[in-house]
Amino acid sequence: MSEKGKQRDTEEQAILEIRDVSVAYDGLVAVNGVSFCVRRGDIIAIIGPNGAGKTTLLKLITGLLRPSGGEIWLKQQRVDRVAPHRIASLGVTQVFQDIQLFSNMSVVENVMAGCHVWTGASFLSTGLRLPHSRAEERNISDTALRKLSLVGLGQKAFYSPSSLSWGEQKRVGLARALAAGADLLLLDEPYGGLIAEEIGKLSQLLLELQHRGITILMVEQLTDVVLDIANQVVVLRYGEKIADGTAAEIQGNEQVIATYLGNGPLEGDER
Amino acid sequence: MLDLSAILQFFISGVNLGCIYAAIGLGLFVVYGVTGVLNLAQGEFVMLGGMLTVAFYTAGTALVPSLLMAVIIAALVGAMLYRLIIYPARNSSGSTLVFLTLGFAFATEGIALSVWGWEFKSLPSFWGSPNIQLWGATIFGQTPWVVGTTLLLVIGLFFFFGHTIHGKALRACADEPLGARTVGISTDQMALFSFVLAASLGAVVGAVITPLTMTGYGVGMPLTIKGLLAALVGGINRAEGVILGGMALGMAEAISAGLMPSGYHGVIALGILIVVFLSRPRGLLVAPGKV
Repeated sequence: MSEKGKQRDTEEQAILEIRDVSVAYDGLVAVNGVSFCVRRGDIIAIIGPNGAGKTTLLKLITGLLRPSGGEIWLKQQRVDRVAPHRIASLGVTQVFQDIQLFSNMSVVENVMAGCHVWTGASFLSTGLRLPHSRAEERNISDTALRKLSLVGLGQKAFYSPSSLSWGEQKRVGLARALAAGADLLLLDEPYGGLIAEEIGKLSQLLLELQHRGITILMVEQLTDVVLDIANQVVVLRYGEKIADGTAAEIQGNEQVIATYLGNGPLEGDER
Repeated sequence: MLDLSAILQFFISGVNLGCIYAAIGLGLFVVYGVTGVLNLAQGEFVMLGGMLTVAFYTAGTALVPSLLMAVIIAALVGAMLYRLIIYPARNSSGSTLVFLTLGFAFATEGIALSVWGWEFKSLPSFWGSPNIQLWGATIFGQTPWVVGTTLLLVIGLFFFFGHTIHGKALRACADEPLGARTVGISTDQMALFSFVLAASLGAVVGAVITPLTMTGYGVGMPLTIKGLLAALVGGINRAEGVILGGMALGMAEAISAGLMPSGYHGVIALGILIVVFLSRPRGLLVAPGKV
């Protein structure tokens, strides 16, 4: 296939396209002319040293920040001027590094809150307990319990989030994002703060989600772990993309090796 | 020496006042919880509920439709307060937003004065409910309506927040607005709804208390202050605290009304606030040092 043909094929499969996106705040250019495509069903890792603009890029995709230049296209819709809750309704949900669980709710209520994005019941019908809103409340409850089972927390549905381990809290965040109907998950340092056993479990879970058709875009510093599971790796440095390819291609990229380890091989873990 | 009937009378008056203050405090709690705005116009919705119900009722409309229309109009005014005043200034400091609600309160008072005049107005007890004599104490015919309405509002709010998807979305916005936005909850829509809900609550309370307390263009601000005291004494972050604060304030006022000269009522309420703030700065239900 010709290069043009390959490019067209990639664009057709793309769930997300970042086109020459830049943003600056407080006089600093945090992201500068970054472009890449995310193919449906892939796991994509964005790696780079601290301050490379990784988390800023996620905020641009979810609408929490607006780019000063460039375009962001999601499922053939331009979304770089769209409010965060509208982007979430298009199937994109971010799980933050600090997860942002709702501490005033149980685990299952946290996940149920994620279902609000697709609820069709009005405030009035919900308040008056009309039959269709009661049916929807049951559907929401069932959906939340199913998502919790999927992430292995069915037994802890009625616990308080604060009583769970850090790794379990991360999985509650994933269940909440899945309950919101996300088919593109944006994960900000999902492995951060996890012990070795939890890291393995999370990788298995992410591969399971990929198998179910969920696209995953993650920002991560623990590069040796993400290189194992990612189909595509984007490397940022000082807000600019320096490499984009498969794990093998990235590991052989001289600029990436220089960025991480001087002139040694890329093994990834910078901690 | 106080006899049983006097103690009972204090208790009945205290419950009655406590319900009113708790209900107003709950309106403040709903808006503050979701938006972080201390809405000093909450008492104006109580005033509007009472005045509009009187206006419709005296024009010949039956009581229930009068009350419903008053609630709908107050809800629309609540929506206007958010959409036209708070929303455009949403990125301003907390104190700016508080002053905006205060300005709205004064404007509402002024409009009410020009429309309805300065006279106090009242309604008959709902469906002619008679006064009840109980062991020498008098329960005014409207008192069971006030207490019953407050109970229904409290139960309704607990149910709504605890068992409905929109209630959970409101709680999510109150706890982690950023997390809420990224799972698709519109914090603006929830803020608008919180103002509408609080205005509706205030209007219902205003209509129900009018046969007992009468209403006029200037009743809003004193009621806001009482509701605010209830919320601050109990802890504005928790509905249970607001209810407890309202009841404590109502009881204290009722007892002081029976035992002290009339000019000292405000002193009692403010005295309670000072004692609570010194011992439990975040309210009765939150131990010092805890959040």
